[in-house]
Amino acid sequence: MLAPMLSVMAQERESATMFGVSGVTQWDTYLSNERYHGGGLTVASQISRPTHWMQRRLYVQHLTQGNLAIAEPRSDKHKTINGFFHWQVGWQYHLLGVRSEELGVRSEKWELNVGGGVQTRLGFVYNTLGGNNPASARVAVNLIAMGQVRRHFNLWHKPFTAALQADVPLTGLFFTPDYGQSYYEIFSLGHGKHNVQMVNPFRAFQANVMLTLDCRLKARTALRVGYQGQFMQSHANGLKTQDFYNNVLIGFVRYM
Amino acid sequence: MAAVLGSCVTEDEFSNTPQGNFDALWEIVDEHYCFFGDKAAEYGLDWRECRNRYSEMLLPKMTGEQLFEVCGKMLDELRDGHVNLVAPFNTARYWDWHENYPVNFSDSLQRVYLGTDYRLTCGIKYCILPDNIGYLYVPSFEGSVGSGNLDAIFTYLRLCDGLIVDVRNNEGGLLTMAQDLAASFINEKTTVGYIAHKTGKAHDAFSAPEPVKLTPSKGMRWQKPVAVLTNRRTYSAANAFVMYMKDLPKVTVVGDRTGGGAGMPYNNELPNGWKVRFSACPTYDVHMQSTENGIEPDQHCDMLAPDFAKGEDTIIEMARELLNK
Repeated sequence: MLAPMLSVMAQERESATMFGVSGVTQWDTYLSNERYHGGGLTVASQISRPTHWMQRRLYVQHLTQGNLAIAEPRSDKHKTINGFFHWQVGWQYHLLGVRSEELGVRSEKWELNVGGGVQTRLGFVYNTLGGNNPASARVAVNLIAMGQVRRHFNLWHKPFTAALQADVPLTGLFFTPDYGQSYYEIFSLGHGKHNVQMVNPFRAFQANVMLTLDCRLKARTALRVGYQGQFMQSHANGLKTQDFYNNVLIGFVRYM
Repeated sequence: MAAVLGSCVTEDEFSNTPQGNFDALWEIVDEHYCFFGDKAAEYGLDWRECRNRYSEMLLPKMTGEQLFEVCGKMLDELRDGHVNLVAPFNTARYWDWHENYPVNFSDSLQRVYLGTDYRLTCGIKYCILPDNIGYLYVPSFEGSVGSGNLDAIFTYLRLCDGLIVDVRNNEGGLLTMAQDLAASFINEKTTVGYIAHKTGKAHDAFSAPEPVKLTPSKGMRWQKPVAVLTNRRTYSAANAFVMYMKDLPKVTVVGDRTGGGAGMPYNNELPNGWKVRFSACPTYDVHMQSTENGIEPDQHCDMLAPDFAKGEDTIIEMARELLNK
């Protein structure tokens, strides 16, 4: 029944490469009680393509992203250097695609995609305070729920696509030291206990939100601008962490 | 849904005022310091009482130097050499663990033994004394020493009848370097101590102590008698090295009691940027005894003025005598 409403545009393979600048809030009570604020750079690749399953209504999307940032506390006396590698793969069902003609509005179209996937994160926070607690590792594997709303429209005789996507970890595992445990104990002595914890969205909500606007420059190329919020936090073993990245993105999308 | 959206990880921040910085310091130590129980049993430390007493000295308009003095005096109550408050203009420290005792070390006398053509690798000075005793001076465990370096040292000293490992005035560094050196004196995997960590904010919230096991060095290993020389400035990772060595066969600890420092220090900071250092992970010897207040030598020995006048280091001479028996 919904098949005739399937978007033609949405059946394309999209490959987006994005670069961005980040505003960062970093907090890790293992390293310091102070919150750090700063900036950084990010680069991301997002590839989305239809599969042959479910009458080509199932899409697979890969997001690969790297972040590097430097932040300072309010005293400006110290620094953290933060690095993250983020990779996720998700499958989204093209739940709703309303053709513009059916709405009586030329060239406009709404899409709604929902699904889930797997997300992995690998990163570090290094604090120049030093000592035996100079850095903290970030390792996580999550099962995520994904939702995406897209709207296609024409403006100034050019086709545009606006998209809002949110990925929320539902459960998963992440690494954390125990409250006062040293990395020397974990890695040099092999004393690893309570270091793998369950992700609990009711205790520490996390999300990855991306709002993009694509303007087709050519038949198979679009300019993309966007905003991305990466909100990662944890509360386990008496330790609290927050890694909030607000990214302004620019890039290109290739349609194949 | 409301529960999810409301589950943002938060915590109130202290203000960057004299009171805020003082409270932040007190709380960091209160929640992370690892020797409250030992200090309370030893001399009746009451950290909450310290807060009440020193907070009365705070004034809203006090200068940074005045605040530093109050905070430094409060930290002195911990009587811990691993506790520091570091500001751009000064470092608060507790050094009674060596300043109240004989120095028991003279680099001038050491020069008599080392000469000028001693060998030097990774900061370790070594030579062969005239009675065929090897002498190894390790001034610090900062940095690292590779197995190739240790092989070179022990190859050079292999024909000696005994070895002096001098860690006097060694105020520590990396535990891994202390372990790497100690691993050259064991032939099988050996438990040399225990380590624990805090599991929460409560003063008595600790993990079960877990063994620190040394794996024998894959390179050359020393099999002959060893004398480890100590003084009150043998501290922190050097104290741990003595702890690792003390119960090994063929090892005799000679000199003065070590300075201690059995808590692995962590750093944190105050709202105004001052750095706070404190003992966070307690370590214990193989008998589950804390070495925070030092390790007693097997052969106590102080440097004597008449020996000094003769150009002799009493502690080195005692070690030579033991090794030549």
